[in-house]
Amino acid sequence: MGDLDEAASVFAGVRPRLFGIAYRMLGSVSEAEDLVQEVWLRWQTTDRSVVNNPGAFLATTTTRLAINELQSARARRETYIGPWLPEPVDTRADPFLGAERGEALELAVLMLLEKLTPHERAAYVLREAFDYPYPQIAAILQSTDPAVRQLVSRARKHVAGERRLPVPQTAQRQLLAAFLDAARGGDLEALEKLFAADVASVSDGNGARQVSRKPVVGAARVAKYIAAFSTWYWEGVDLRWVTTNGQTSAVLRRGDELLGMVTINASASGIDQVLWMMNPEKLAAFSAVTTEGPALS
Amino acid sequence: MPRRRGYRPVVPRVHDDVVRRLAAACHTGDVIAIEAALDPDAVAVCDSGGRAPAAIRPVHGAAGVAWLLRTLLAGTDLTIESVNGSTGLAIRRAGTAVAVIAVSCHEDRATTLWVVLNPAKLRGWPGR
Repeated sequence: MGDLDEAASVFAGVRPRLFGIAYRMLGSVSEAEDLVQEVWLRWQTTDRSVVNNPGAFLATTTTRLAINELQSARARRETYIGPWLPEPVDTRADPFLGAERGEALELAVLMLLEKLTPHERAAYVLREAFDYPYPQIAAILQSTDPAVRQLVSRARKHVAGERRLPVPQTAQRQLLAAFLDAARGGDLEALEKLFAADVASVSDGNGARQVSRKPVVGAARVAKYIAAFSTWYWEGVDLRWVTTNGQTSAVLRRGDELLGMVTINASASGIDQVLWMMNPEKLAAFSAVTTEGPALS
Repeated sequence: MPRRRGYRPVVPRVHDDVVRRLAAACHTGDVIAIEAALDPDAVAVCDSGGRAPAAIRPVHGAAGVAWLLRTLLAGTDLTIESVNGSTGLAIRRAGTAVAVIAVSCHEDRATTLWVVLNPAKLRGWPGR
């Protein structure tokens, strides 16, 4: 019994940190609490006599469970109605998070972390929020020091890059350019990173050939849909910028034929909508600009 | 003091001022004052999980966001609170939190309002 008391007191000592890791990984208080509870159950049944460093052991268990849990949580969120946001925490009242470092806790940052892979997110959280040394993060993630440094650096670039979003109109144009690059290259991963989780691709073709009649919804599905026609659609296509409704769009032309126009709507969480205007009647107005607008590289 | 890594867009003091200015404008109910605290291209992202009336798509533009805030505020109390480590807002109806808002800023304006309305995500929010 004395042994279990000691196990409980060791656990209580690191619980705030375990919760801090789990919450930053999952963006959900209730899921993080369940996960920490699961770690406690495992700790009780572990042969603790062979554990040299209980704090490191428990952080490792928490992180690995959180990586698994994040994968299934993301699958569940695909059917969430409307935008998904993290569960907020009252950091003045919360006895755990309030006392911890505030890094990687802001709602906006948690939203950016949603775009990372579970391993990238774990590496970023352990490094930025808890200052773990790289070799220890490598041990937790069963990886190597250089690989972990790269994960953290990629994650940092992503967070810093996104947070430096210039005024939305400039950002919209940059996102459109990045989107077209990824679309033409059929780069699934790049496409998914550009998209908000609930992105929709909508085409107005008025029944025209090869134009989807139904919107395609969800980051993974839209990326697959766009990558699927990347192999044949862009061949010989010339792209030009135009400004429509105060936004940048790209006009698509093949030789003398006007194919259509594409634009995106974006928010802080990424591209929310990809709009394809393929309806010949609505495109007439753009036949002139296609030859005048600046060419895309 | 560990070396500061990562990117900090706005120093916390400025962030705090922006949220306080926004809250003060909300208290007057003056749409023009609310808009003045918002970036012209401000965005509001609402999470209701389909369980509370809310905009399903993000609301773009200061006018739209100001309108959304006014709608949310009808018959409620707005307070300034600490949301995920930075100054944010909570809206309560009859003492129960019905919305918690985290605010992202650029310079001296609010650029994004992250509006959590899903009751399942507000259960842990202290009542008043």
